[in-house]
Amino acid sequence: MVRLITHNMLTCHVKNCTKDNYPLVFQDAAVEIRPAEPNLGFIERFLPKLEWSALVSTAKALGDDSLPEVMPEDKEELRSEEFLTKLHHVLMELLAEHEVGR
Amino acid sequence: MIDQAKSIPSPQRYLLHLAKSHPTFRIAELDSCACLYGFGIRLLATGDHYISGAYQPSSSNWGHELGSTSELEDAIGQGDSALLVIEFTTGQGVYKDSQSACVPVVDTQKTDDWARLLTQRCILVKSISHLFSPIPSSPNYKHLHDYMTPRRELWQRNEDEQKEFAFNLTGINKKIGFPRQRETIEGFAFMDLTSKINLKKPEVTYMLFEECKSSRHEDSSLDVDNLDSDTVAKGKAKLEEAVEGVKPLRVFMGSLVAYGQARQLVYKFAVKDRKFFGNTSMESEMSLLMAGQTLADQGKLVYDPFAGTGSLLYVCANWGSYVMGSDIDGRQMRGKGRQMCSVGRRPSDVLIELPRVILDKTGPGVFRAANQYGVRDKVLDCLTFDVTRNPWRRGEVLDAIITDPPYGVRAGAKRLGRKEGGKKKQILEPVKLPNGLWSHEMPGYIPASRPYEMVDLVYDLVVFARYMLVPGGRLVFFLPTFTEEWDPVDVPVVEGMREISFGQGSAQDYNKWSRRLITLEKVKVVDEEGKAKKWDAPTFVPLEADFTGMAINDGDVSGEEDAGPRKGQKLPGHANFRDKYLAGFPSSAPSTPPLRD
Repeated sequence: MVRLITHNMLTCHVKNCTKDNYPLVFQDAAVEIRPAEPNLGFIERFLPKLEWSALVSTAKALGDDSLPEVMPEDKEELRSEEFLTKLHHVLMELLAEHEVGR
Repeated sequence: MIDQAKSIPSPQRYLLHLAKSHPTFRIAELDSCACLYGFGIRLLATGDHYISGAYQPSSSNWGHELGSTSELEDAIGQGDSALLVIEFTTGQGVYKDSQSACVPVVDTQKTDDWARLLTQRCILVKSISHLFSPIPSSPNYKHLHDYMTPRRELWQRNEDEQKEFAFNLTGINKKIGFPRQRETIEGFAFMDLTSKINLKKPEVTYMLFEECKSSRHEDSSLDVDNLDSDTVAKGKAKLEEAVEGVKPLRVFMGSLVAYGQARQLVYKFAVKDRKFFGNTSMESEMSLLMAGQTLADQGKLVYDPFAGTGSLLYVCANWGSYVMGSDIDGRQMRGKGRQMCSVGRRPSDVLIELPRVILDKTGPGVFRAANQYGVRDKVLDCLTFDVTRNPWRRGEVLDAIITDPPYGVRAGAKRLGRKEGGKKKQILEPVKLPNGLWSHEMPGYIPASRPYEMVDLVYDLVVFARYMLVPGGRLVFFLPTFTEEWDPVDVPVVEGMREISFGQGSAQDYNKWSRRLITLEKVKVVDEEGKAKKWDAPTFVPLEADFTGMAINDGDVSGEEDAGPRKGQKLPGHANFRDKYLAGFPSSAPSTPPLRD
């Protein structure tokens, strides 16, 4: 399993692999939702460190399209509880599992 | 005298009863807690040592005055006394001589809250009390009584004298039998406490500490072996009496603020009760001390690049941090059970090797243990990769890095690649298997690895931390050192990382070698344009110096080899640690023959 927050931080680490190495694409992935207690302050602080388009495309690939294509520019909206809760769900509760035996 | 004390509010001083284990970690732990919650601590006295300026005049001269705070830090680190007197100040962390002066905080409510924070967070703190006894301590009860009698305000603050009370007499380095306890407590009749005694739920607890010489010392009067045969024959009762008869070195008194709450975590995280552990799992007390150094807290992100069985992750998660671990060998983190790996593809459809990410359906070990401690949510992910070829996309994301790097005795540090100069013919990768698949894409593939020299590892770790940490973030790790060769310069110094240490530094001593806990903090470095400097990702290129064969040179008993080409070149105390360890740490002093097994 991997959470999308971790996935967003990882690139390919193979030697000399510098092009086209992000984001990593899931293969044979299954999705599991594991509820986690939100810490919205943490999510808010992590926001500037995220690669937004990679996050959205990966979430879509896993069947979750709750996030907007472009990161909202409005600071108030970014800080709103509703938005952060949504982000928390995608980052922390959505787990990509390796589908086994299929 | 009394009037004066009443008119000028003096700062409350606190008496800390500390655990006897790991004395060199005491100040570091207090400092970390103070830094985390934003208050200052000034160390005043321990045992019978005190710093100039903290002394309170009493009927007889007693104690040793020390000239500077650093001398007091050394005295605390030696651990001769389990008691420490502090006061709370403005500023952050434990006061050092180099700092600008801090003002003591007078507001007792505030300082009581801070004291309680210390008991909740510091695992070495057994209790904290308001100090009644003089600084640094009293040599006997008469001295204490004489000091207290004219200072009734000590126990008459907040109408404490009208509250239901109890006395608690603690013997340090000895047991005190009930009759002696009673007798001693009755000696405090001069306090005129008229309220009820309530031993079960007292509103005020008066704490008495009687400290004797530690039996660790050679001249101990408690040495059972040296008691004459008569005494032994008369049995246990007599022995107890002999013990009781030992005069205390010093006595302390105070009224309890709080007992240490965090100390019980040592039992909660005991490795023997853990669902998953390995042969190199860190013991719980030390893991907790390390976690304290990282300033782990709610909503922080802590990472261990040599996670192993994850001992350091659980304790950081316990303080509310999110934790992540990685290891070059995922089997360490998974334990027995189904092995999982997720192999991804990059967009261009060329298969690449990705970090293998472990699953927890059947319960990889780290998650099982995290579940046991109720911190499963906090363990974000465990990844398998070599930290020298790490996949992190960007720096400045972590609040702390905590790690116990393998130093090559029970488990050696490894990095990807092939060892050079082996006798065996080496297979070149990639290898195509007979069935047409690449060997490295098969499940269960373990890449070739080669040793990771300690000197390289430590330097890389510091540079890696500088890249990955947010400003103010901390790197906490153990550095094994040959005690005789230890030198503070063994910690790599790089721009942007500052070491935090007190006294002689925190070390766990194993006689010939010791492991030192190194805490480095990332400081903000401003470049020419006034912006915070961003550090480049480390290259993980091995250092130029050739360390092979040095251990043999270095450890030579004769010491004559010193005249060789390396003369004058300072080797870090941890270079070739494994070779030295296995050679039994041959001493460079000619008088002591080296241990060879």
